[in-house]
Amino acid sequence: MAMPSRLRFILAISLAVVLGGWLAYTSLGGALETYAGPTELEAGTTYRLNGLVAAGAPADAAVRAESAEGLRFTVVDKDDPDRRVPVLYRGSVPDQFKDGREVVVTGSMQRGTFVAQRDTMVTLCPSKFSDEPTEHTTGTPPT
Amino acid sequence: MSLAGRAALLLALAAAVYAIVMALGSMRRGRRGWIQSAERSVYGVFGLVTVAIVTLWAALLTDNFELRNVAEYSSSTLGSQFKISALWGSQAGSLLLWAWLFTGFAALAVFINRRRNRELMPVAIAVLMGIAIFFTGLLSFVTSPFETLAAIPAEGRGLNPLLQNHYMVIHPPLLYIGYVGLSIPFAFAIAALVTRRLDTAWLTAVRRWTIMSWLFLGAGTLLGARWAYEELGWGGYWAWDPVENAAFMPWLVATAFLHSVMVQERRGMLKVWNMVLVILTFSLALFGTFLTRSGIVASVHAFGESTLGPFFAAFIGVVLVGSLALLVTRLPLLRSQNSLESYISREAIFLFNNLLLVGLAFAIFWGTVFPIISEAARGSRITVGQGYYNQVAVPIGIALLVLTGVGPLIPWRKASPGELRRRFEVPVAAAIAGGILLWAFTDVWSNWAAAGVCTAGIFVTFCVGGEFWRGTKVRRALGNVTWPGALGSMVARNRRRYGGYIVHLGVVVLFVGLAGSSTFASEADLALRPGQSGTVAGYTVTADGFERGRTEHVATVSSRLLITDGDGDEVATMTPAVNFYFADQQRSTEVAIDSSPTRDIYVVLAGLSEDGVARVSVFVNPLVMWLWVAGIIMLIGGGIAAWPGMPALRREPAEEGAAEAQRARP
Repeated sequence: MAMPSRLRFILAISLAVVLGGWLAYTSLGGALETYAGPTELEAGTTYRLNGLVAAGAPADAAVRAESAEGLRFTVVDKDDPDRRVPVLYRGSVPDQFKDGREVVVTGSMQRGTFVAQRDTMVTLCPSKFSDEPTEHTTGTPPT
Repeated sequence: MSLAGRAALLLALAAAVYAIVMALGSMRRGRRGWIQSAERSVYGVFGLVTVAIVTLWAALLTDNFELRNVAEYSSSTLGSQFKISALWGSQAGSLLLWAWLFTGFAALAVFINRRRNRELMPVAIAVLMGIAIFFTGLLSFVTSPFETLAAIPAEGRGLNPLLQNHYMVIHPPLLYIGYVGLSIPFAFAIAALVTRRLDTAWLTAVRRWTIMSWLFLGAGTLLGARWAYEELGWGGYWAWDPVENAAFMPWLVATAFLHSVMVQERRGMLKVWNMVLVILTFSLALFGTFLTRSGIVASVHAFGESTLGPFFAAFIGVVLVGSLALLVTRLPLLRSQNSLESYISREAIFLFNNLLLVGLAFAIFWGTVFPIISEAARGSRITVGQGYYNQVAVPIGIALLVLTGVGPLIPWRKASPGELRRRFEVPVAAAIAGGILLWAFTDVWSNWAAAGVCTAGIFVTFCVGGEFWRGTKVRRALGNVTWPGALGSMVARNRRRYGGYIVHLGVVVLFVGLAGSSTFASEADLALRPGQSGTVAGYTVTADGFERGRTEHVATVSSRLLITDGDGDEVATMTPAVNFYFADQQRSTEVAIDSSPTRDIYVVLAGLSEDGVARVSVFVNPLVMWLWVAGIIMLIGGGIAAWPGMPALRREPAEEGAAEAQRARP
């Protein structure tokens, strides 16, 4: 079953091309989501909304998100605090969620509110704390 | 203290430059002696970086808040083990850890090869010290771990509670050891290319390094998954997050290399391919660090600092372009000594396995960088969901699983049809029988991927188990030994081979765990007053009461839940909790997990309302425990394969010959 090396080469290349094409196809045909800030949102498109949690987010966010009414909070643009959008979210809330945190939620606009899909909230890991105010305050637990 | 640290890093940088000059200089006639000076400077670089890291550890342990990295990532109330691990909580600190482990490995590689591979060492030292210059340079001029604060705070800000657990003490160093270890094979590959010594000497020098790095990278990744599972409270352990992918991609390519290297050793083929794999693995390890540290793609781990991005991008570019250009100039020296004789041969199976592993790595890479590409091409950042990764990884994964059984049974060069039938009739029959039994007695067939994994798993277990059985039988026939004695001495004398087979068995267990936990998980969100109950996947969850506690630092609420199975028998009492740390206004969910071989019950408390209603999410995740068991099996197998002991390795071909001869005459 010895094969000339050129034939083998062509076979390997075409295999790689088929694989690559299949990948390109599946990635484009699959669920694609567009990253967006709070202002670029059109109804009917699924976005990954990225921004900061506006001041005034409820302290009992995790409980509300599991309730029938859901968790409501506002996302503001990272660079322009005037750009904001209200968000309705249900599902698990990461521990890191609080005012000023950077979050990503997946969902779409419905009548002026960004309605997130269940359990899609991601908070960005705050291993860097330095952009936050330094004074320590004591607060009440959220639960 | 800051001064001592900075000085040590600058001196390390200077010593690395000196080592390169001396190492390359020693290649000239009459300057052979220079290499000794270069080697000593490599030890010196390691010593100096050690001084730097010890200085930072000392600062952390003595609460020296003058240093920014101490003030922002530690506090006087932190336990000692977390003060030590706070070192890699910060960006500069984790780079310092990288540099320290790296220079330590470089020193070890130089020491091991002090009497071996003398022609390769000058260039290898130069490459290693080039990498050292990059890291000590970053640490000296771009992001210093010894930056001081103008006003010294009275107390530090403390470590993120998510990082205050034992997985985060051990997971980052393990991953880093894996990443860093991959630079040693790279250095030797470049040395072989530069010196045109492209025989198998460099492969022998790097094989064990690769296995070891592969092990650490795998163990680090799995511990990271376990950390996510136990700490983050979303019920899963893997989400194809860019940072998870960052560690997974070099691991896949290193796996490909560990297999294809055998083809080069045995048959003198795939020489260029192996070079490409080594270069690719190291580039991906750098890319992983780059992804984590640059914030170029949004990730749960994006550390939100972009100062290092351009430096890493440039360094990866230099590594990739430089080494591939070098490879092209050496192509005529890398001709294959043999050609593929048959597509049903060990070398062909390794070729398929390599295509699949590298293809999978490429697919993951494509998905990871897709947002960047789409932004450049179409102006909007488009990301591929988890669906994309699963769609690609599941079929490739099952194909790879089948190959872990096929590979060990197919002979080198060429297999005759009769031979194939003899070797595969039992595994194939077992897989068919197992598949029918699963179809009759379980609902595994409701998911084709899970059914495929189970059937393939049975096939592989019989393939690999058969290898152990036949080898032990041969050894027992050679002399009067007991069965366990025969098995033990067989494994001891062919560590690399049987260690590898043990890893293959671990892969089967891993796949079964993955299939079970990803396709048959159930979840329910319950709101329970004391005394009320709800059901999840046949288990009844009853709220038994709650507790609120409060100390100076932390407020805790917990809910006590009674879990009973379908027969009403008590399974477990679980108490998920939520802690709230006052100091940094940080919430921390404490997941409760009840593990058993068949399933994990995983409970997250979202919160307790004023009137005593506990909101809990209950997950029933089948077979998760087997992921961790698989990790231990693979660790043992890899450890056996990598264990030092040259005489055993030399004997390997003869042993294999005996085993093959025995198989040919059953």
